[in-house]
Amino acid sequence: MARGLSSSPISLDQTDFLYRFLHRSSFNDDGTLNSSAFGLRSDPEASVGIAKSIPASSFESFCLLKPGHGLAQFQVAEVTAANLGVLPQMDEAWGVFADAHAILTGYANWPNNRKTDAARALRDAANKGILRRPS
Amino acid sequence: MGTNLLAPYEPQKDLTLSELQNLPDESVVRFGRHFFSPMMVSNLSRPMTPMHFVQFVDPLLTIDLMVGGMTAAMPLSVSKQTFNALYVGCADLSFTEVELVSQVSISVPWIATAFKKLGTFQQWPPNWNDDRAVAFNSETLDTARDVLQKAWNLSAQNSIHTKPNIVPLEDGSVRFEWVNGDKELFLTILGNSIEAQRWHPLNAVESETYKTILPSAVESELEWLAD
Repeated sequence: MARGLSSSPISLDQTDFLYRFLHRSSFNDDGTLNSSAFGLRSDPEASVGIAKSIPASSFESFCLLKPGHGLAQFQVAEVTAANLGVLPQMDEAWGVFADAHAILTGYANWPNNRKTDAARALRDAANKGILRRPS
Repeated sequence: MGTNLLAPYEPQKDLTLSELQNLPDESVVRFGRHFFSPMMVSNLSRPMTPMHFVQFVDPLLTIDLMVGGMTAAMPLSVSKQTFNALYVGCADLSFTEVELVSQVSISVPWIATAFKKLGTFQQWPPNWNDDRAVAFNSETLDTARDVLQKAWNLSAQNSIHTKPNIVPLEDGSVRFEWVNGDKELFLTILGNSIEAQRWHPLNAVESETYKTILPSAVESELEWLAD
């Protein structure tokens, strides 16, 4: 909460899509994603975007939140399958997209092996939905 | 492939390890009968001298290390497997000849690319991902190189026909993500410690095993991947 996060009234269904910004180091030489796309070891509240809160007309502006980064989408159900949760949580740092912000939850106290299990599963989910590659 | 006699050679300058490793990716070094990527060279006992460069029209650059005599201690540290991997089957090359190597007959092995990638990690400053990432320390990278060398040696002997993805992690560790058939192995390296984690089959969410090992124990993990 220290970085300007606050609760959000948005509710998510299993079929809802999420976005994840991707640093270029998360892409392998063959263009696929690696598990660093989800740095669950270092970040106890990994950020994701809520697709349904971002109008198609604002998608380009949303991408500018992280210039030069790639973007992938995956479903809430895939997060759940990795034994994680998603919590909508407004983030002032996202400006006009503040209420499209959510965090992955449920893993902060996990041992490294479980975090890596989850990061790998999310890697595979995001690999199916790469929308944008780093510029 | 053809053989040209190129004479006289024009001695160039002494070549340091750094200069050797920074030659273009497509360079091929000939040491005696063996060809290898200069990126594979991990140390020199002394600067290479004299060196003779021969630049061909085609993109491959062949560097003949033998002309002028390299009779002192072995100047290169390159694995035998690397030699073999790039050996192009020229049984009796004369040291005074330069072999033209066609592009289709030789390729840079994945370990060369992997070593080069690890070298770039060394230059990444803190916050390299714009999100508070930790810089990579030399112990981690040295361990990663050691593991790569073991992996390369074993992959040449075992039925591993794939290559690992080299993954930089924001906590300063390096991960090798390696799929072979219906198995996946992660080796996550930080300092002198390696976390080895296995999945089988590939669609399994929970790993089959997880353990922390030393580099000397990495072979058993790779043998599992190869089975």
